[in-house]
Amino acid sequence: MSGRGMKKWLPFSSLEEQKPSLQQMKYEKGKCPKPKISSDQAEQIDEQLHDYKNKIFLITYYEDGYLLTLEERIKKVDCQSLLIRTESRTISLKNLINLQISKIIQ
Amino acid sequence: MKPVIAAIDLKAFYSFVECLDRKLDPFSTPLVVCDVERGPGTIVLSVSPFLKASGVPSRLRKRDLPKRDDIIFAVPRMARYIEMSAKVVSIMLDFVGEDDLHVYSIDESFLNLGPYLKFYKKTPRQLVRMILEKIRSETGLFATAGIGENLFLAKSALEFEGKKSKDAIGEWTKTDVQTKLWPISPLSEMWGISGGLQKRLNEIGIESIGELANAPEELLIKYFGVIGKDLRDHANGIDDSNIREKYIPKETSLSNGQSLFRNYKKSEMPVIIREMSDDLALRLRLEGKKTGLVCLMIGYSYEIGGGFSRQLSLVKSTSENDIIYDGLLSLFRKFCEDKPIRRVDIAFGKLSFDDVEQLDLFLDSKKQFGKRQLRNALDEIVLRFGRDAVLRGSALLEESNVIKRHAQIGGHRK
Repeated sequence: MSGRGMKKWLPFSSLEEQKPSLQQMKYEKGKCPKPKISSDQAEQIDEQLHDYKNKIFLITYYEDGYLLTLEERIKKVDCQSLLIRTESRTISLKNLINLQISKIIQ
Repeated sequence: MKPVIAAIDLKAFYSFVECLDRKLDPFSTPLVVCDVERGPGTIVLSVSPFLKASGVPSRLRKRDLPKRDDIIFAVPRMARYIEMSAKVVSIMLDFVGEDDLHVYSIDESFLNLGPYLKFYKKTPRQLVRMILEKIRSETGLFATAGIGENLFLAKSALEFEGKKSKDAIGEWTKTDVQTKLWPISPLSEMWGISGGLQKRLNEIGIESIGELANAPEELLIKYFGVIGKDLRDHANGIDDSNIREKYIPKETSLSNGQSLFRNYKKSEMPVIIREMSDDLALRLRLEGKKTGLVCLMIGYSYEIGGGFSRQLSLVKSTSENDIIYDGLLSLFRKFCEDKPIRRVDIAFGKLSFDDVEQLDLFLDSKKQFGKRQLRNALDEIVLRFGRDAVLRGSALLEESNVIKRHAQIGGHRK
C-alpha cells in the first residue's frame, strides 16, 4: 500500500480567491522585455512583406511581455496604419520580431 | 537527486501586514486582526508578535483577548493579504522553479531546494536564510522555516524548531524523529492528527507519537485505512509525497456555506438560500458545468444545536438558477423544522459539462432559449461590472446579506 502522496498536502481550498492573484503574479513574472531586432532582421521582414501572397508564415511577434508565434497566412499589409492582418489577428509592425516562410501554397 | 524541502511560513502574517501598513513595529505593538463589528464570539484572525510574546494564543475569540485598552483592532483586509502573499511567492520563484514550489496556504509554502544547492553553492540552511532575508528586505515581513528531506519533516522542523529558534530555521533529519518528535504530546500536535483522530487513536491504545511509530502497520490500516499508513510513516519521519507531482483534485462538487450573523427564522431563509444558490450557479456556469444533484445543509442555533443535511437528484442536469433554487427550496420546506437557524451550506454534485442541451418536450423551447439568453446577458454584466452590478430586489430586504457577502473573501472583509 502506498500513501496518499501530495493529495494530503492539498492547499486549503477556503481561499479560492488566492488563485487568480497567484496566476496574475506568475503571468507578470513571465514577461520579458521586447527583443531588439537588428537592421538585417528588419530588412528581411520588409522583404517578406513585399511578397506575402500564397505563403504560410511562422510569425513571431511581441505582445504584452510575451513572444508569441503564429502559423498563418498574411491577408493584408496595411502600410498606412503600419499593421499586418493575418487570418486571426492584427499585429502592429513594430511588434513583429520574425517572419519565416513555413509553406508555399501552389 | 535527493530532495531538500523547506517549509516557509510568514510570521503572524495578517497582523504583521497591518502593523507594517501603519508604520508600527509588530514586535512592540499590541495589534489584532479582528472584525470589531462582529460579536464577542468572532474569531481573532491574527495576533501581533508582541501580543504573542506576552502569552496571547494565536487562535482565540475576541471575548478571550486580555483586558487591556491599548489593543489596536485592525479590520481584516483579505485582498491586501492576498496581494502581499503573491509578492512573497514571487520572491520564492526567484530562487526555485514553479515545479519545485507548492503553495500550501496564504502564508505557507514548500520549496524543493535540492536541485538548486549546487547552483547557489550553499547549504540548505544558507539558501533558506537567503530567501528569508530577501522576503524581509523586499516586503518587511518575517518568515520562519523548517528544512527536511521530505514535506512532513520540513513542516515538523518548522513547527517545533523553526518557530522557536533564534535564526528562525529548524532542520530535521529522519534520525531526529526519535528525540525531537516522539516526546511531543498530545498526539494532535503532530501534523495530520486532528482532535477526533487523536481520540480514536487513544481508543486503540496509542497515546504518544512514539507508540504510533511502533504500532503494527496492519492495525493502523485496519482502523484508519490509508491515513493509518501515512500517520505511522509520519511518526517515523517518512513521507512519500513528491512536490513535483502536483495533485489536481477532480472537482466533483461545488459548495458554498456561511455562518449567519444572527439567528434566522425559518420564514427568512428562502432569501438567503436564493442568494447562495444564485452565486454558486454562477460559479457552475463559469466552469462550463451543470449539476444533477443539489444538497442543502442547515445548522440550527448554537443553543439548540443539530440540523440536517439532505440531497435531491434533479430530473435533468441543469445550470439554471430557477430549477436549482426550486430543488433546494423543496428540500428546505420538507426537512427544516421551525427552529432558529445559524448555518447554511449548499452544494452541487454530479457535475457534467454543459455543452449540449436536451430540449424538453413539455416546455416551450422558445421560452427556454429566451431565458437562457437573458441569463447569459446577466452573467456578462456581472462579470464585467462586478457582482453587485445586478441584484435581485430581495437584496433590499432586511434578511438579505448578499451585498455584505460580496464584500468578503473567505467570509472575511476584502
